[in-house]
Amino acid sequence: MAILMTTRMTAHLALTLTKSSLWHRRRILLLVTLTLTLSVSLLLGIQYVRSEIRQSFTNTISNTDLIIGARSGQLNLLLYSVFHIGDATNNLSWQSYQDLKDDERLSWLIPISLGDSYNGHRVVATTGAMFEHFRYGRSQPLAVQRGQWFNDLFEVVLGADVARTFNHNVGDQLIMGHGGGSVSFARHDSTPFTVAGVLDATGTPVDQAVYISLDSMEAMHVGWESGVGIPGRTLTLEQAKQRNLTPSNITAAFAGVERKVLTFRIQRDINTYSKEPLTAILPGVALSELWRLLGQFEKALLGITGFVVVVCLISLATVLLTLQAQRSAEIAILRATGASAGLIASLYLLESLAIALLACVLALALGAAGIATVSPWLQANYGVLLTLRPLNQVEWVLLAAVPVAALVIGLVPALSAWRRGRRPGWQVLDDA
Amino acid sequence: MTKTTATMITPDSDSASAPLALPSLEIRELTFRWQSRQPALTFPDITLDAGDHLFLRGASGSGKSTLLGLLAGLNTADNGEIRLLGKSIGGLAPSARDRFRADHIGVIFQQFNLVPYLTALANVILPCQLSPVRRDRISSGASHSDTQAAIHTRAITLLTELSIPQELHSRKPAQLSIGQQQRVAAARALMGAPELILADEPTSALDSNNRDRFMQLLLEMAQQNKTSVVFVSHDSALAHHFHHQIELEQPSWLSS
Repeated sequence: MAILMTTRMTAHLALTLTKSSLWHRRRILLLVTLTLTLSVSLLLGIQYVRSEIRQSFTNTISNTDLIIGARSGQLNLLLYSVFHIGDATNNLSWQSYQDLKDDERLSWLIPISLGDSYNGHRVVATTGAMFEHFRYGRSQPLAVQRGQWFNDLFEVVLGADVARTFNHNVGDQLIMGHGGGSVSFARHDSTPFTVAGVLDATGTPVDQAVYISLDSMEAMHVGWESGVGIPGRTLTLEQAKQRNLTPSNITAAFAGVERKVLTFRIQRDINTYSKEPLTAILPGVALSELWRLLGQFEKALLGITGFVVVVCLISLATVLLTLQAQRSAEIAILRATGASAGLIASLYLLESLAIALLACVLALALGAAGIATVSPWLQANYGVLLTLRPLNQVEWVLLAAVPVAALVIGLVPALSAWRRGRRPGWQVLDDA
Repeated sequence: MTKTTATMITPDSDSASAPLALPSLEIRELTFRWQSRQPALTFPDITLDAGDHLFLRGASGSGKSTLLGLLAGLNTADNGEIRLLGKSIGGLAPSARDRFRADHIGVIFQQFNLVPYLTALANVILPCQLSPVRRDRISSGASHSDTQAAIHTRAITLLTELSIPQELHSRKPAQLSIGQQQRVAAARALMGAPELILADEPTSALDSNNRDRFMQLLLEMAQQNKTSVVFVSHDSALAHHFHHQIELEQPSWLSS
């Protein structure tokens, strides 16, 4: 009972002393805590963002078995068709698309045609098949929030973010830009589009795109054969309705396979298609290639950040050891008043631990604030969705490693204080 | 082998009074060496009765501070025996020596006596936080909150008796003068009425006014507490304050 009381007294004293001592040296320790905070948030942030980006990329497309485009690398095809990053190298002829459509092993096909933009947002020309068959996340279909999917010429359906950014609503008129880029010098002024509907937010690049029909895409480019619109040769809505607007080619197509076991054979058949050089990719395989590619880079980045944390911890040890020299008088007083060598050592451990814990808490706050700030920008510019979520196990382990490492670092001055404490000496000042 | 000689001068008036309790301090055939190749320091045999005040005088190198370190249990002797309050401290484990020091000994250094990040009052309370024995001496059997209050009151009383005005109690040591710092250190040493106070030239940094006031206050209050004092100094002008004095001689290997 007496021993228990004494232990509790000592623990209480150690905490009180640590608190006062930290406060006394707050200026220099705050700097150390700040560097540690920044490095921990960097480490945690990179780990967090990388798992979020993976999640976001994986969520972008679902249930699509094959993506078919002109002959190119699988990453290129995946990036431009699904993520709207980069451009197509070549097109897919309408004839080839018809041949694919006739293939009975494919249960559905979504044609897409890219190339134009609306204030920096991709214009995707497609058909009703997109609305019917496209899936993202966990097999979720697209849903219309207001209005409806387009069913006429010069009608447009907006992704959730596009509608929000420009404050568009059903019935608004808008003008498409010719080509990509956020500022178009050539605009399809003579063929304004009417907003038919706005899609629900998906957290994928769909939110950043606008959807029109293949016919509209074809119609608005009549008279643009030279690259600029020749006045008088462009079509009005009435004229367009009279014409055959079947496109001569499209950019790519998403396909669903009836019997999944046939997927690889179909892929091979498409890749060896004799009339036109085509490439068919499996989105999952292409994504995993993307991770393999990025994985090395991510690991290197994580490794570098790990080193940054180590450097910060070493600087913490340096500061603690430097402070220790200043503390010899104080330690001698505590020893002479009856503090054990263990109590002195525990002061160093507690200080080191307190700094690390403070840095971790600050890093969490900083990280959360950072993600909340960056995520809208990231989604607007790259279509990558970063959400605030509780930390996963890996991240907790990473975070917990910091105070553990700080305790180990704290052992350096603690052990040296303990040894000094046990070494004979009246006032440590005198024999130093 | 060199030898430190000593003479113990005891005024007649005190020799008559018989010891009431165990001697607070007994040293027999004590030797110590800092390094194994160095010649040993030898110390005179000393017996100090409870409540008596001893003045240890000696030039530098005579082993004054070393002897205090041995008495405090911070150094361990090579040979000989130290008995404090009848207990031989040579045989105690390091943690038991720490415990013993916390419970029974108050220490005053030459300078830098106070923990820089604690207020004067918190510095005085420190021994009661390290030793339940000293805490209980201030308030035996009281409830927790009463104990805290009693300790607080006792610390304030001590500081006031050592003429530290109330407004300085909550100040950090850096804001106190050297004289005030040393008196706060004396209050800490007296806190919880330990049986023995070890003082290592606590007046060397003080001017003569401050020095006389410090000596007077420390010894008066030690007397009230029946605390023995071992006081080390090279200044023989202070000797008249004490019941006994011992001269430590410089070992010949240092003077030659």
